[in-house]
Amino acid sequence: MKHKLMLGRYIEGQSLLHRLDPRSKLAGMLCFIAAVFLINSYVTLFIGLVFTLIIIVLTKIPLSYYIRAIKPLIFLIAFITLFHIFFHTEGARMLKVGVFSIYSGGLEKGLVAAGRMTLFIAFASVLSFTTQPDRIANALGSFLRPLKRLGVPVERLTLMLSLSLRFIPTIFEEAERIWKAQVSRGFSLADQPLKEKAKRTIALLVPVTSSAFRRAESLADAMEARSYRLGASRSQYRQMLWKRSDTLFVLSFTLPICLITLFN
Amino acid sequence: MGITFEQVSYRYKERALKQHLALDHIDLSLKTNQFITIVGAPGSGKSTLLQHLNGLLRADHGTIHVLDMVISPSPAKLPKGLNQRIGLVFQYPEQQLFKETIWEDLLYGPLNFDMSKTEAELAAKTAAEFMGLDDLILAKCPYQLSSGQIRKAAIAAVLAAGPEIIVLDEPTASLDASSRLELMTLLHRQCQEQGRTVIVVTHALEEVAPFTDQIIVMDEGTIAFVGKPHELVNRTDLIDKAGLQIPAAYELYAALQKPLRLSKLDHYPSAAELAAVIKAAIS
Amino acid sequence: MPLMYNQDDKHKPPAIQLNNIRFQRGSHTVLKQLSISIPAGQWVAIAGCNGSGKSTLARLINGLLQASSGKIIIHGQPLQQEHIYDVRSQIGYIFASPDDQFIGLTVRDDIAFGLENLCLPREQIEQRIQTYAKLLHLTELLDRHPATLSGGQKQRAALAAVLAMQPSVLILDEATSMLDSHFRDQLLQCLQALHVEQQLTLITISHDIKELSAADRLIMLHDGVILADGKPEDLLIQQQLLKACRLEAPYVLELCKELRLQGIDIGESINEQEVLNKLWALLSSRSPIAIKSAR
Repeated sequence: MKHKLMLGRYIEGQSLLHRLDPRSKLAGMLCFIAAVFLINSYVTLFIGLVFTLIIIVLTKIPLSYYIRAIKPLIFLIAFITLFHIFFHTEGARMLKVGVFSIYSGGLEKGLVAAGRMTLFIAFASVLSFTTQPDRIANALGSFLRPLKRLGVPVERLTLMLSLSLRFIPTIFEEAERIWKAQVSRGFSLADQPLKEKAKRTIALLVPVTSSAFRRAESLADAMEARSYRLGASRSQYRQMLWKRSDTLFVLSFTLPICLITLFN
Repeated sequence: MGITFEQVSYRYKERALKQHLALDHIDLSLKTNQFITIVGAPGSGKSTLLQHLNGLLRADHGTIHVLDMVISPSPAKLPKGLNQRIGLVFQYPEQQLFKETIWEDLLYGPLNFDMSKTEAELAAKTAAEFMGLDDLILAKCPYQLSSGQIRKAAIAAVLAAGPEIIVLDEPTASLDASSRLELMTLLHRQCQEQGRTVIVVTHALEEVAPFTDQIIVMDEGTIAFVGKPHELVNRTDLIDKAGLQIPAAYELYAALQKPLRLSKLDHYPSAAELAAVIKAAIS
Repeated sequence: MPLMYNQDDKHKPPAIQLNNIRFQRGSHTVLKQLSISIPAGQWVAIAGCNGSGKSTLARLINGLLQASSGKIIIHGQPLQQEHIYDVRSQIGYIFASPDDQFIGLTVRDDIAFGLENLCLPREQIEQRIQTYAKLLHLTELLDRHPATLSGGQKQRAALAAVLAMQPSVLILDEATSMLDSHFRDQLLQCLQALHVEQQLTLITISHDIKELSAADRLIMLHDGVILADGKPEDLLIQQQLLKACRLEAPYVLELCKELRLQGIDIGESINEQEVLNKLWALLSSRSPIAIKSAR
């Protein structure tokens, strides 16, 4: 049986981070984003980096996995860095490259921006490596629950999220098969202007979409046949237990936030 | 001319936990103008093998000769026209239909392969007629057809491009019994009357036994058997491993062979033939 | 004339009763004045060509569709929209597509899904997951995502998920049509065991002669009416009935016909061993031939 790429790239383990309630990890993520936003200098970046490395060590997952997660986005990071470097003119002029000049202020801004992006990706990886996708979905669902009072269809959204997680690999496989079938019939996007390419993609979009609709209908029948009713109360098999370690984890974010604010 | 695999190997490219060989140094030589069946357990490499025939997958090592074309491992370029001359029909081919009418879908392949409008229309008409799809059906949208009709339409769409070899992965999956027989008969006629090479992957040995000239059994990326169906039925080890069932014709013949002192089988015995043989043995 | 089936247990209340059911879809009448009575514990197979109304009939029983007229009575209670969710927990339904009925992210979650809908407490859900996973040999696969499972494994998971809800009736709507013959046999064996051990009322819709002949009773539908209703071994030897349901005569039945043409009359059967025994009896005075038995 082929082992397909799993969504979320969950990596099995028993570390402290693995055993935390997904809600605390999600809450931690929000705190972390706040902290990262406040980073604006080499010093504050260093604080953020240390904190992130501590968390990475706690996941007991080798650093190479995180580097592999960052690699695909290296061009984006480089672009942002260069953008800042060339378009900020504060500080002392350090280098002259033809028409462009690099200033120390720009360099700092560029490196800090790159650092922030990297930290962000690293933490997102911590979340996805240590938490199974459906648990993230459960956590999101529980966070959104108070919004029910405002008329937000929380149950529907949570259902959509978990069904997406269930079906994305399956639909991806089907899309691949349809692509292969069309290629076998002479489908090709090579050497075509963009407009023509877009037009030709209908050969992929129509089958995949109509199949998705068909699936949705069958799925609705299957769910109803198993006594599912939208809005009816149901029990919950998967439990999320908030322990003391979870509270401590979320509270621990106050340290970097305070430090970063101090050194801001 | 024929189909030859010379020491072809292929490893899955996905981020798999175990990287094993999907095709393990395959050596295979097949004649054209035949009805060939490929069987094997799930994961034995059948679908992978099929996709090497029209260049969808490229071997890591080894050379594949198809008709007068040579397929070498990448980065060598694929021979021109490979796609058109080898028609590949995937499982549940009706999923690939996307045009508003069946007729337009039949034209899709031929037009993609740079046939003129007139040529394409003639090719589509011929394919439709062969598969028994009349003008009424051709004007319909895919959702209005029965499962048997839509399967025939999808296969006609591949036939319309005029391939010399047609390869089908489980063409009868999910169809009712009569539609299965109908489809197999049509594919056999493609071989007999049109001279096309037909390669079918299936596990329903029962429905393919009366038609197939050769059977290939794959096992864990290797070729475990090449020969005639009546030769395969004695290989119970292969039959069990591939999850196959011996067709009733062979089972009954085998049960009657010794007591009625029947001669060794060298082809598939139809019910009429077997009845005649029994009558002769009894009288 | 449709053949009537003689009920052995006339005193038992029928598990399922359909009285004069009619189902209309637009201008097309899919089911016309259908009346069927299925006693508890019976295994009924339903055959018919596409469009004969087999799936419609099945979906009427578990309330996925509503009849245009007529009454449906399940375990003595008439089927009404208000009680539909209670009824659904008693009638398990397995669909043809292994993927499109796999709801959870793992086998475990899929089995839990229906139980959560029944508002069972967590401990009971856990218990049932373990029991039914064991029954269907899924214990090692409990934490796998469906994209890593084969069609047969997914159908087993569907069966576990539905059985865990402990229905009294199980409907299988072409549940094996997308599987290969190996899994088909596996599932058939499983059903045979369940039928004996748990006395479930089974309704199987199929195109496969082997599956149809495993049932106690066969109902053949054609164009929305009952064409035949009787024992599978009696109905499946009739050429016109087979044709109407788009079934093909198995090889052994063809052989019987050809033998008759040759002047050798051993009657008609779809059972290979039976035919061999009859041939042997005809040749007389020797011990029976046996086929090397399949799994």
